[in-house]
Amino acid sequence: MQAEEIKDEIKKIVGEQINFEGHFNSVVGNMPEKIQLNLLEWIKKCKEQELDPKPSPNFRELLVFFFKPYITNIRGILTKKKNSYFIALFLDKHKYYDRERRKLGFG
Amino acid sequence: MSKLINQLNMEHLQVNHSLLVPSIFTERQFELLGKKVQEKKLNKVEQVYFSRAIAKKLQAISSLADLTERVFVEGEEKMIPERKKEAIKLLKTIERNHKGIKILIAGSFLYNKKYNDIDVFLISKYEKEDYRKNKVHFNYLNSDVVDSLFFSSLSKICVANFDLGFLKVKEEISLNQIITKYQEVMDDILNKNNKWLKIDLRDFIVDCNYVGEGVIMDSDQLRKVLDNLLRRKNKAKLINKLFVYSVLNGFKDKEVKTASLNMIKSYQDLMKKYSKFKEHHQVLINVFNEVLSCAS
Repeated sequence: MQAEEIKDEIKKIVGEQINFEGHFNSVVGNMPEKIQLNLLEWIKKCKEQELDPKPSPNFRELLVFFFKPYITNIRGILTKKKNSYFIALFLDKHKYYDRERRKLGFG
Repeated sequence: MSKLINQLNMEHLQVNHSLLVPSIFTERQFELLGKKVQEKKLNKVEQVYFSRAIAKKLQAISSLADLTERVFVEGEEKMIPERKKEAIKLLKTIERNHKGIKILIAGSFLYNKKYNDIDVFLISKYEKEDYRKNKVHFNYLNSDVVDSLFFSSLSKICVANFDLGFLKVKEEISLNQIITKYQEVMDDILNKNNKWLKIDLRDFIVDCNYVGEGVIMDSDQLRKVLDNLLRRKNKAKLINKLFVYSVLNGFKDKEVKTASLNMIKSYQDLMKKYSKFKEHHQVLINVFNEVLSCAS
């Protein structure tokens, strides 16, 4: 799937307001299809409260889900406002992911 | 010359300042050398001055000291002698293809009969993809990683082409860091995600031992603690205890109390919405309550 197609799929699941962050287009576009499908499945689970979010120690209103497929160095962070909408999906290589985590209060 | 620069670090230079200035370098030259070692950008005038006045001196020193042939070994007492020899041989081979780069070989290959792969770490200014060649796993690290706790732990048993004696941990492990790694470890247990549990727990143990005890564990000690914890049925209980002890020992009571209260409130809120994880959230609340009661 192309990056834009995946973005559309994600918007269908979590809403149009979602922002895409990190080197999203290039990372998602170069992912093997199996991982792309895993990503979409994971987002569905986040939306349907099948996965346990982590509260940020720095931002009381923020809930965070981490996407960590074992076989690649691609990582994702889905942020959600508590009791409200999904804010952003960050997707990048693990080095940038570590930086983004720290910004959100996760060491 | 680039190899000699590669061997130097600021602490090394500062300790030897009186030997170097004025016998070999002027104060200005020493200052520029420091900038170069710290990978700070030199302006055009400085670049020209560096290559004309300093680089040649470094070349001369290098030829005398034959630093390019040096190998630094840490934790030799834990190494299998044949593996140490193999590692040095491998280091020399890799050096030929990665000139001027700091290289370190670490991990279970050096001290354990059974090993999965040989971990080679290359410290590079540029972002590069890790790769595997036969049994050798090449990991690229940024130069700022040298000051990290991870790197200090890693380099306690290693063979390298640069001096590790001056390494110091400059990274500060925050309370948030411990809390969020704890959350992640508990999440791995909840989801029975054993692959990630091994990775996350490893980081968590290193951090806890450092903040709680001031100890930097080497990879062999870490492997033993990790294996011991992972094979236990009650590992979650032991991890909870390690967490409580480490935050109480490593941080001020006031900070610990504020953070614990915030986390308890957050998990209480989550319980209402995410009822599927009620039991898991209650465990975490109980642990933060334990921290709170001990800190009060």
